[in-house]
Amino acid sequence: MSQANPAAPRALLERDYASALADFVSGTGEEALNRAYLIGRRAASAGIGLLDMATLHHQALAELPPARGPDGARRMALAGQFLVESLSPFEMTLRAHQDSARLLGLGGASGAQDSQIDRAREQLHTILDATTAVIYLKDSDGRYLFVNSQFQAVFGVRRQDVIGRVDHDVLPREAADMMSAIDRAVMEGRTPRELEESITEADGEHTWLSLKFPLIDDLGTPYGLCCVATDITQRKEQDEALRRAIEAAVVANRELEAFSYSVAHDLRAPLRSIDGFSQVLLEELGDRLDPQGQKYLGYVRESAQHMGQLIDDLLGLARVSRGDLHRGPVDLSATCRCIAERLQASEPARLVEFTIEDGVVADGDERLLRAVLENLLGNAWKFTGKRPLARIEFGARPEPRPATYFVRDTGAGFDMAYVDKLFGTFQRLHRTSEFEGTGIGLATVHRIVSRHGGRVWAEGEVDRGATFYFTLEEVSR
Amino acid sequence: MSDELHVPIESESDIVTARQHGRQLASLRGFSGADQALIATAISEVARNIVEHARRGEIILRSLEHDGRRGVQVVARDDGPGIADVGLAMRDGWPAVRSPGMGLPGARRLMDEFDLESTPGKGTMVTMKKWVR
Repeated sequence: MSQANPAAPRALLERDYASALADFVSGTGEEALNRAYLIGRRAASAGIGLLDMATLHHQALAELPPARGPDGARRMALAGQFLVESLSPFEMTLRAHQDSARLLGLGGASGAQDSQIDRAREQLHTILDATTAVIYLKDSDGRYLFVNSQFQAVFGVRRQDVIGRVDHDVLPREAADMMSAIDRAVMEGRTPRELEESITEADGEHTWLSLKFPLIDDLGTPYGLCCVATDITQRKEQDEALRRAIEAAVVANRELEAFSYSVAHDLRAPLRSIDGFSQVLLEELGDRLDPQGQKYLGYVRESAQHMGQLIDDLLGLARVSRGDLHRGPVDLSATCRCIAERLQASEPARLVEFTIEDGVVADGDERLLRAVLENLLGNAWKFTGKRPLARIEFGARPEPRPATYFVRDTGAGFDMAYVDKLFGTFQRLHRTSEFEGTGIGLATVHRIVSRHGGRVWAEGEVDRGATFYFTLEEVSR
Repeated sequence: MSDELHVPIESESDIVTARQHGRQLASLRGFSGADQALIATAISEVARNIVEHARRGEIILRSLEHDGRRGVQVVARDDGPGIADVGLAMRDGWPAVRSPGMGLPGARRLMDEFDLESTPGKGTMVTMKKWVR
């Protein structure tokens, strides 16, 4: 307000000063001195300097009607008193600045200490100028005590034009309104604040993360404020780009899954026809084919059936990826026993010893965890198929958290060199001729465990069995 | 001198009167011309405070004599609304005020001793002292 147009208050001051001085020298006494004080107060508030006041006084003196002799001397004395009176408010302002300067350690020392302090200050300023952060200090009147070089660069102002001035003297109105309001709130609230501020710069809008804290003296009185602001525009843009990329990836993945599902689904019908008509061909017209032809037709059927199995497994994998997770307590021990019985029933002749730990209960989705155990125990059953006597074990290690569950077998095992291929879709470490399978089972296990926030891994050795471990929750921090 | 001078404060002309008496007293006690101006200014600041916040009150002027030192005491008293947060009132104004270091904190800096007592709803009493150097 007062800074908006310094010329207007100055012209007014000139007139008031001259008329009050003229009144005082003509003998109006305290009334005129009071006016001198009021003029000085106005001038100090308007940011008018002491040199201006001296000029004002000089001009007003020159306008007085001439006087000589004792009259002239008396008048000079009165004029001097008037000037002192008008400067008295400046004394208040000056002492206020001296106080805040002393509190900020920017002055008040003398003699031998000076050079040390100068050097410390210089070092401090070098450090403050070297950072990429914008740093400034303000006194309790909101006047800048210090700005670093980054401040000058960002706001396009020179340090010497900023020190001693307030936001509205230095910055565009909008930025000044915002900054002074926030800074004032921090001073009044007497607590530090961290906030994001948007400022329009030459190359567009920038986002700053500002830490503002009040400077408080021994008596608990705030005497200033410090702000350290970091440009986080780039980080914000990167965050935003990353968020968008993830969103796009999720959408794309969902579309791909839907597409795969429908393709797999649609493939089943023609496949059934191939298998079906091959069977009909074999049964009804098989006598017209020689043994070679019948063998080939048998291969066609086998392949069609294998492909059908593949498609079913793929659809199963798609199913475990979709839908909500219904978490609850799941009795893994009971589930394992049930699966073990079924496996034993499928091949009653095999001798397999199941060791299933009792009372293992996990938190998870019952249907999906059943699929995990079916796959792991099914694999164990399959890969112990060539053993006259095999052992399959299920158990849990509750500590350390989260609990680890495992399925161990004494089967064919695998080479640890290929361990990272285990859980990929269609990845197989054994030939189909050796062990049946589509290569989707462990991918399904991986998917389900991941959806629970858990992890799955394996240990094995060729011909000495394998152990599969999994957890069902994230490692808590 | 131990007598007190009471100046009722309600308007700008009362402030002029208080300043005049304060200056005369300071001159009698032996303060320099510059110090007289500072005392008058401090009186103005506390008197303004009365007019602005309490509408009316009084300035009490008194001579001081202590350990061979001579000085003046200025008391500004009112029965106004009082000050809820004295710490806040004694803080230098923020840019909204645009009169750095004026008001009560300004008066405090011009004088040697300063004391502020205030009870919300009951009024405010500022006691300031300055000693001849």
